[in-house]
Amino acid sequence: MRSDDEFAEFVRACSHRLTHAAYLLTGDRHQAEDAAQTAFTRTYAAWSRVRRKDPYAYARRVLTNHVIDAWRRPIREYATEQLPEREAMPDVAQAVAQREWLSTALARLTVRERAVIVLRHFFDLPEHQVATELGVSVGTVKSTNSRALAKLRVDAGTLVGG
Amino acid sequence: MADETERLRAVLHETPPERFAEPDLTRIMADGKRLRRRRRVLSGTGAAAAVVAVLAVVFGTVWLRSPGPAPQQVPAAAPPGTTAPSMVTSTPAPPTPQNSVPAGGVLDTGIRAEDGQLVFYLAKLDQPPGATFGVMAGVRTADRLRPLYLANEIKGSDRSFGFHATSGGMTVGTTWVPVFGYFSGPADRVTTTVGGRVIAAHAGKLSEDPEVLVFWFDQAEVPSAARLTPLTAYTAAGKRLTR
Repeated sequence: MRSDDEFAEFVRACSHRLTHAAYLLTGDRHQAEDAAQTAFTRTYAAWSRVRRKDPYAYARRVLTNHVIDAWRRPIREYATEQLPEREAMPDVAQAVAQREWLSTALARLTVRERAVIVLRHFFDLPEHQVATELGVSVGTVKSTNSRALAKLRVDAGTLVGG
Repeated sequence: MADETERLRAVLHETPPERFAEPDLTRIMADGKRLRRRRRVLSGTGAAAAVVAVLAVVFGTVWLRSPGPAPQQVPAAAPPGTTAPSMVTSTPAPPTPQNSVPAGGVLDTGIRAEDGQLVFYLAKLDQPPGATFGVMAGVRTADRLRPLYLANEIKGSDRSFGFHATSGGMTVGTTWVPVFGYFSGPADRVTTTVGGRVIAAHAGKLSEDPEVLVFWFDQAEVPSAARLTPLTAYTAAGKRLTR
């Protein structure tokens, strides 16, 4: 199969999942689509190098770091040690309410917390791989994940309101 | 807890109500090819040290096509023996010597280059649209400034509050250009975290614009811009300006 055909097949196979991840990272549909487009562009630029390795991992890493980069510039929020008021997580069956809950809950997180949650719990990556992809220590991943889960109300073994 | 984490995962995997737009494959390939060509030039051993615009969707960097800061004698940016600069874009822009003329002072870094010292200075731009200046990494030799690498904002205002144009972390010709960028705002100090360790940047202001803080990192501590976790800026009084 020609290289470009392979790449096109790769995009078709994983665009939805990567764009979905971008949506979880950004909280905005259009930003997510732009971020996915950028990740695929950079992956295509490196295609000859990554096609025989793990292009999906490469695209995922580019996507995550691109979103983090985009958040670096202006102040969007200040990190706080205070957790927000807890609110109940809706029943799993209530899909619409779930989405609303997720959108609100993710918006409370800093960009790095969001990235850790998405890499750890959406992509199901082990902590050491999350650390590698974000260029931080495993300890940082653990603490960030713990803080993010607390904000999301998954706390110390109890999903509050669940 | 496992059950609850599973519930979180289930919510994360919930399919969004509307389908996402399909990626534009034609554009991806066209932009990707341009980016690939630029990377090739970038990695070429000094073959085209002068001129490449490096595409980055959020932060942009531009290689110089044309030289030199001295008003009368504009030295070639390309090292001896290299060919004349050529843009690797499909439509090369006309030469704009003013984009490599120092606008204001020059920051000494103390980093030795083969034929001088690495410095940073602001360079006015007439491209791309929206950016009026960039931060130039150059070499001060005995008799002139030799521009090497220009980092500039390519999206949005180049003076909006926050970090801009973080790039570098590469060898240009024979000179290492550290990870650098600038902060627009009342910052006096910049840090990042690498491997869980807080790293302080070197930083300095230029007379041209006191609201622009140019910063750079030691190669040993931050070898690549990809290793940076979110940058943090502080005022002289220690007030944190960014998250």
